[in-house]
Amino acid sequence: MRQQKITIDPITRLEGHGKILLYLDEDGGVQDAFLQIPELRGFERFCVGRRGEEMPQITERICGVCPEAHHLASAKALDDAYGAEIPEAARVQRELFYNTYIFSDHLLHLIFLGGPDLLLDEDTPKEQRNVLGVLQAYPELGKRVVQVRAGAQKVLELIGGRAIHPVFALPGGVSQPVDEEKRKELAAYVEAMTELARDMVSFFHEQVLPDPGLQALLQSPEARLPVHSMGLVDDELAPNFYHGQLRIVSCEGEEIFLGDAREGLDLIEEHSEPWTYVKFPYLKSFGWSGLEGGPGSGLYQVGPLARLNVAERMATPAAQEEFERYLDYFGQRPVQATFAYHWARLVEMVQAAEAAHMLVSHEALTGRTVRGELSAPGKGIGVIEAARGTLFHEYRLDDHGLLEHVNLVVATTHNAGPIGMSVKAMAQAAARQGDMDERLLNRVEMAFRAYDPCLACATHFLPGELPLTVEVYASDGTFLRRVGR
Amino acid sequence: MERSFGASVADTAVVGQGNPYCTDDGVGVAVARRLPSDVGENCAVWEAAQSGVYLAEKLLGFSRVLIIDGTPSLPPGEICVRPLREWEAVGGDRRGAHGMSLSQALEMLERLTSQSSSDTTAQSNCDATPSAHPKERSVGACLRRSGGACLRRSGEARSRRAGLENDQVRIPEVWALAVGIPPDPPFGEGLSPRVAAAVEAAVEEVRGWLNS
Repeated sequence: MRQQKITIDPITRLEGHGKILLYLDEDGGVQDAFLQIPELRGFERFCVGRRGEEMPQITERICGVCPEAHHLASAKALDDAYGAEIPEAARVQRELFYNTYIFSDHLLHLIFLGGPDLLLDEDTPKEQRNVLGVLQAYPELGKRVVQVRAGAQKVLELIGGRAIHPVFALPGGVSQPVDEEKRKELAAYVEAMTELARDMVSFFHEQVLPDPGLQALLQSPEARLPVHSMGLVDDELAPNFYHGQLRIVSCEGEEIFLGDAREGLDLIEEHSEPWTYVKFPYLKSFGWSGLEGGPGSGLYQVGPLARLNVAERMATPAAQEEFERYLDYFGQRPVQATFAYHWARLVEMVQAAEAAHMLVSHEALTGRTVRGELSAPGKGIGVIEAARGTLFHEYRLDDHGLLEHVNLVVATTHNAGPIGMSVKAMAQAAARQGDMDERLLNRVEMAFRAYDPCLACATHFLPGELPLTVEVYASDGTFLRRVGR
Repeated sequence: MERSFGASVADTAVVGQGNPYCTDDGVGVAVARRLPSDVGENCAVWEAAQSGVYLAEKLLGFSRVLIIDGTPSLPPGEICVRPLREWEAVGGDRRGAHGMSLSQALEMLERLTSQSSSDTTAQSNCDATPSAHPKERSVGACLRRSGGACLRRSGEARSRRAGLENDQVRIPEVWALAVGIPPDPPFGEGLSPRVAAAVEAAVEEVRGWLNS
């Protein structure tokens, strides 16, 4: 019998640490794995009583990874709370901004964060198995990525109004129109984005996918997770990062829900466990059956893999082409391979770049009317696809526009259960092979990294201290060792 | 100053780092907000709740940067100004998302962009070194088909606006102005008394650094 002796790390600052706990069975195999990450409830309570229109600038400071997502999710919640209709010029600005963010963020992850998993052999020495090792292997690629990302950051600054922490989105629209001169400058940066996206696809198929190590990961039975998928889709059932209907598809490919995204929060409930601050969302209609997958479980995932599972097609031509190659490779829908997250990220990056290219040429972009009329304040829900998955902002405003209630459900919260399950499966496989140190840590980190969690406890391949630790406990709960860098 | 709407063309940046909705964690932002609009010639003043690679990329193109941040490594209210690397060496850094310090991120970007910018050079290197990693040779081939042209088309004008010059990236000299804060600041606004009392002195340190 296993004792539950678990110490939860104190939450320090917002860049808190993460911990994975592994419990061994009597034979030394991994019986269970749990992921502990910080929570944000205190932040929500802090916001009550404040003016609603402050929220786009407050929530974007929740963490330093997705300010763009929180900024626009918040603005959308306020659009809804004030019953505002967004002028076309404002919608195009917001979508151009947002697709640029998705492109930029996915590119960062593909090269810098998840890149070593894709681009380097698993047996590469640990001091080389980081982004610097990637640079040695692919020097010109790294430089070009930095240049194009710098251009993408300029797009975000030019539209968002600041180099860091955008200020442009307001209830009902945006703060300023885009003139023709600015449009031309934006177009130049966006052109470089689309070129790099196309070249990244070629690079992936010529250099990355043929690697036997990656093939093994993509086909690995330990790295398959049969959970449902959630994401936003447009009227053609293609992914739309900024706006759309919410679609939920079962792990067997059946549609569970397609409808108003604002109803999403009514479909989920949260389950508490004593060993973590995070609550585990699950689909209410299925009930809670533990951290298990399968068609009867209520667990679901979000993010690139999930978005491609709920989509019937992509919204842009080159992305559609790559989507078809992706589906051909896996040969089944939905795709359940955890490491397919990386490839799905590439497909989405292509769509984001192509969408930005279309939007920067959209005739409405330079429209002068950028803010709609506001009605009396009330309840509002904003739903958006952050790079890491579906993000909900729910507000209730009083008659004076002050916040009475705030509820934020971030992408990594949705994925908390699946992340833990993936980590457990990979740890069990590594333990079966007798690897309880470096290789175990590698495998656990790889599973974790595929989801690109939006918290500071995400693992990384950069030189320096790793903020994620793995603690191993015996079957009686006795602490055995800590594995970390 | 960056506070205006639009792209920055400043040479120097002062970055108030931290979360102003997390009490003393926001002391860096508080100091930045106290700076007058004409604090320095050609100087941008920013607020950032980001660090690591996310912040590092935005600093490309500046020649000098001062990061103002709170740290529990100093007694509350104490101030220290030193080069960022020295500060990080004594454990005073803020680990950004994904656990990378700012100087590590800048080093990474410097190494990323210190490779040859010439497509011809890349090509000759790939062809002339049969012992090179096979993946490297093929990347060169892939880039020859399209990527090199894209690098040239990036152009000087666009590169400078994006913080890049002549396909090279300018990595700034970075200093840290650290203000001691208590550990584990809770959510909320406002600074604790000892930290608040240090803000004006920190503002004077910023002026001194800008004039140095």
